[in-house]
Amino acid sequence: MHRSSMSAAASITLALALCPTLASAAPPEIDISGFGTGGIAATDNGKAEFGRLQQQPVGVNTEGDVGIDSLLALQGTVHLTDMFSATVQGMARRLFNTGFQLDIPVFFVKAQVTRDVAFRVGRIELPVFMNSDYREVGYSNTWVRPPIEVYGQIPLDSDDGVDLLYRKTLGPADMSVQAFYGKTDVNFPSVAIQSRKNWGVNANVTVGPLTLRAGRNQSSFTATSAAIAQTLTAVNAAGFTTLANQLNPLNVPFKFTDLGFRIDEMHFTIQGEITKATAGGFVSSTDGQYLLAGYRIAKFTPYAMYSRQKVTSERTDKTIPRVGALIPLALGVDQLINSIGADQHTFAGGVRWDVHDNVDLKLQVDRVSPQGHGLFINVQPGFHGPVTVASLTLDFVF
Amino acid sequence: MKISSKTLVATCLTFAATFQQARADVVVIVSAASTAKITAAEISRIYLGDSNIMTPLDIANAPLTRRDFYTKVIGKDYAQVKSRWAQLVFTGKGAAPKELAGGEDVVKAVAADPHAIGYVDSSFVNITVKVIYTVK
Repeated sequence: MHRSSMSAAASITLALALCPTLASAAPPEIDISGFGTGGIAATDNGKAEFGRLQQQPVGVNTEGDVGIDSLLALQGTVHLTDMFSATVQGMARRLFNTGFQLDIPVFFVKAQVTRDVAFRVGRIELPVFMNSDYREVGYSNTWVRPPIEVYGQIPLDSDDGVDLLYRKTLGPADMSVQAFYGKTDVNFPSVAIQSRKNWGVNANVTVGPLTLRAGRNQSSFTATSAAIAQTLTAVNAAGFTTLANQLNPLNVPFKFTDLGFRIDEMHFTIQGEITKATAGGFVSSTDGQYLLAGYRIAKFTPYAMYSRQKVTSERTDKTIPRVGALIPLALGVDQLINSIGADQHTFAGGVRWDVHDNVDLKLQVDRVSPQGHGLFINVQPGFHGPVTVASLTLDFVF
Repeated sequence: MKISSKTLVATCLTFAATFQQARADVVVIVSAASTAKITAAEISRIYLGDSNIMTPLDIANAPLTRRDFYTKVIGKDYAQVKSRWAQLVFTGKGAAPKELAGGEDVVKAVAADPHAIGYVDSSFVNITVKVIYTVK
């Protein structure tokens, strides 16, 4: 993935500008921390690959692979003054390309205005799911990886812009509200996504072991790829210009709503989310849900999870008559419409073992049932589910 | 069975010493100047990062004190607590409690900041801090 380093340099300049006393003051306090996962996974089906996102170029199949879950991240925070701090996180992972690559998912300057209010400027985690902020931190999650049926609905994980964080404790309730605005650019080898006017709000309330979350975000996105261009050119050439314009994902709206809950007790850990994604252009609108339940017994947490995605938009186009020479064109359009989002559900079971204070080991088996190609990648003719995925990961923080 | 008086005295002393050690309570402290009223449930919420009404401090060189505090006050395994802190740290939204070396350091830091809260073995408590909760 290509991300501009200019904005990083700009943020440093901004941080220094905001802190003129830096040179004369005592050396700033620096926190260095990190997290990572070493994992291996394999499936029982050689005709498609299982991944974390439908847009990513490679996943895992029967041959087994370490690239799907393994990652290493290092984070540094410089406390410039009592109010200002700057944080940067570098991560090596194989998500956006065919090999491991270093990217900067987090880079911001934070102003803690009061104990309750903070502003951030820079690159922040795109906060659209309940676990968005720490989705890559395996150690902080019960599962091996987020369920693709839900967390795959938005293939972007950062936002370049600003956010406002507000926290308040009122009686037995701890509340937090976040509002953000910005943009995101992601270049997968097969598709480039430009998301503009990203804005959203989310609110979380915790009372005792129960946390409730509600979030809403929207944006205007453009997706470009050779495959999209080829189909749209053919549709235009056949004279269906209105249809071609309807299908074209050029500055089209994306809207997303997320409701979640979590119960975290001494023994029980239960969480779930319900999501609704509405997209313009040819991109499918989808509903997603998952429920995860685990039970801690000493250092072991056996858990089970069910997740699913359902397409809510039209799956076939009726504009092009299915006669004679137009049949391949109509089929091509249907293929495009069905390329992103799918009906799929997964039953997963696993166990987390807290080996040490900062280290856990997880074993998870997924039984994935896709409709057609589902959310699998690099699908070959003759593929059909269900597919079993076995994963072993070691997560750590330091 | 014949027990010499010497053995008996030694046994009693050993028992007394063990008992004494077990009696050393873990206490939760705030600055003597602090007017904050904090319940056990609130201590838990502060240490888990849910509530920001106080700034929690952690202690590095007292594993038994730490174990007692997290299991008896927070009601969670230390690993569970670390997993929560990792969530705060890597989102940049918060920070894990600052880890100080020993009880004296915690008492000193708490005394200096009316927003700070810490836990120590009761033997470290002095006039600069006040005990708001005692771990039974």
